[in-house]
Amino acid sequence: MTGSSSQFQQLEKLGEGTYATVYKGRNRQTGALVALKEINLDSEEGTPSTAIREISLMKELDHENIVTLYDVIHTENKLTLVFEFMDKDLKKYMEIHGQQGALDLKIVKSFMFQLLKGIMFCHDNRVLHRDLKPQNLLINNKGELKLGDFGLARAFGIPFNTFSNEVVTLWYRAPDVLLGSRAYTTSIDIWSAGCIFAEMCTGKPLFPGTANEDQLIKIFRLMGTPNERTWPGISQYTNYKNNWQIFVPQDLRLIVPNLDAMGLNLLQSLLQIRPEARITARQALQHPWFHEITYPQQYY
Amino acid sequence: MSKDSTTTDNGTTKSTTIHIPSITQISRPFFSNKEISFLHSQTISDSLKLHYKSTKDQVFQLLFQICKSMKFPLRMLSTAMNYYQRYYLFNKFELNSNDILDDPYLISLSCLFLASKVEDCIKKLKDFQQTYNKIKNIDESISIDNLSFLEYQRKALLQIECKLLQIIKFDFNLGNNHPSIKMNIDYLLIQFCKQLKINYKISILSWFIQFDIIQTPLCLVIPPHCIAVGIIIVALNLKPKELHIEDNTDDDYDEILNSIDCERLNCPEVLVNESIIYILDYYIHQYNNSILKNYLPEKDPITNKDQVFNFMNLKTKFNDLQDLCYQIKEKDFIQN
Repeated sequence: MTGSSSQFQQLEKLGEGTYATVYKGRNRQTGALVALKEINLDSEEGTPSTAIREISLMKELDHENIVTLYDVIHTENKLTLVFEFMDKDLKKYMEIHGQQGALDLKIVKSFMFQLLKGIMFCHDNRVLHRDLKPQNLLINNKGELKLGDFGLARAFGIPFNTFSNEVVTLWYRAPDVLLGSRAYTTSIDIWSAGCIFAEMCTGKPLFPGTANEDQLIKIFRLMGTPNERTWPGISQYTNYKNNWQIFVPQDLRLIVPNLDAMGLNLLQSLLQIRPEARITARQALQHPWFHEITYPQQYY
Repeated sequence: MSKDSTTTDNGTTKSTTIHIPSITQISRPFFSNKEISFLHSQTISDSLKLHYKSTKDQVFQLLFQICKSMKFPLRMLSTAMNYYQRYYLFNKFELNSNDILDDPYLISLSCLFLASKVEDCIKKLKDFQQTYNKIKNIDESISIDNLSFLEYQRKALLQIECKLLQIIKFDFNLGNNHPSIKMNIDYLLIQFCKQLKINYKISILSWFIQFDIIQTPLCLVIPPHCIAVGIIIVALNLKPKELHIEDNTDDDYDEILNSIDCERLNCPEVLVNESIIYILDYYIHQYNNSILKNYLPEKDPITNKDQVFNFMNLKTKFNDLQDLCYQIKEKDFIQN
């Protein structure tokens, strides 16, 4: 749609993203709350391609665990995307409701289940999110979790020559992407989900790397340094080095001590260092750790 | 675009901001032929109808050259052609205007630039401008209104982009509800040919036909998957004995034709039939200007008649279909 944003009353600023500012808004006629994502039109390149990508993907991704895009308001020098309002993002939620950031396992389970459902829907529709992180997962006061910010998302239906390797925020970036893979698939979102899972349990980011190499080393320190034997083909990656310090795999129990054995098993399946070995969102949702949600009658 | 019904601001609210009337616009990816004729009657004066057609041919030729030079895929070209034709449903076609914003060539460049973003083949606007100016032999060193030429041209291109976004209504998938595939005819054609196990000869013939058809307003009327099936049916019916390509295997085309199940390919038969009739009409009238002409022998080797007669014969064969189309449409109309 086109028109003025005066049909919405602009309230406080909710956050600032890479290419947009998000405000809370209220529909003047219905009183309903919305999130207004304001995107300035670039004086050099016009409408940012990220906005075009986000609009074209989100318009069609209609799912309970994906934030709904209601409208696009176009004025001369800016675009406003009108989204459903969510109370806070997961990062803020953990700060407020967590014990030093760590969430209760029941909540972790519910959020992980919803996160994986959202991811599965994207992947079933051939969309990679590519930028999953707590700041992009939105929570409302009904305890619903929804995926937001599809500015870096991309369709993978058509084979593209290359994918840019400057995508996922470093901490949640899959090792194959860090190694320079440009042909990655759905497994990169699964790695991010694994990192978020651990972070919800402990309240601390699992791999808080500062640069590409540091990020890889932090992963190796926990998962063990891979080699041609444990990861055939690894030496073909552009960022592969044969003089990495050798670490042996650590027990995840030591890092996430409050998680039960079944949960650890799921975490391990999500955080497989080799992309092909990583579980899919569909498989993860069937994991016994979620039986409490999927087969509730057995738990009463 | 609008996913949820949003009411317009009718000006009754007390707003501290400057009041700009807002209009809620719903995307219209497709139009009926009647609607297109009506819209064109508003935007293209009778005296300019022929000019519109010849300019469009030249503009598309230019876009093709730019795509070739900048190594863009075909899907970007077809998206840009769709935008260009959509643009002139709502904007006046001017030939001798002094306003740079009315220049059909510049409008087409803006269409291509937007298509590059939609089709994820992003390049800098400056690269587009330089390629365009080079092909058109435009002197970039001059300055206009105290702006360098490139700056002046860029401002115009971005203004046109804004207009285009409003025409497309931010519906970048153009009616297709599958977010990952932009559903261009070339992509669908390949998929369908593979599924139907169609040989190289017919596949490439279909490919040439689609190259002609993407330049027509059919893309504003019929969804791409139905056009793709229509093209394949026409190609199979042509049964070319000779084609200027290497492969000369002849499969049983009738058998493949019988195996095409429009419903299974999610293509309403009425729309496929409409596209078939359109394609045949196009070649009956435009064969000599078509790309396909370069790849078929001048005369049909069996009948020794000009190729255009093949299209006429097919048209007679499909006329029954056309009757059927109208009957079905009428029935639908009455039922609705």
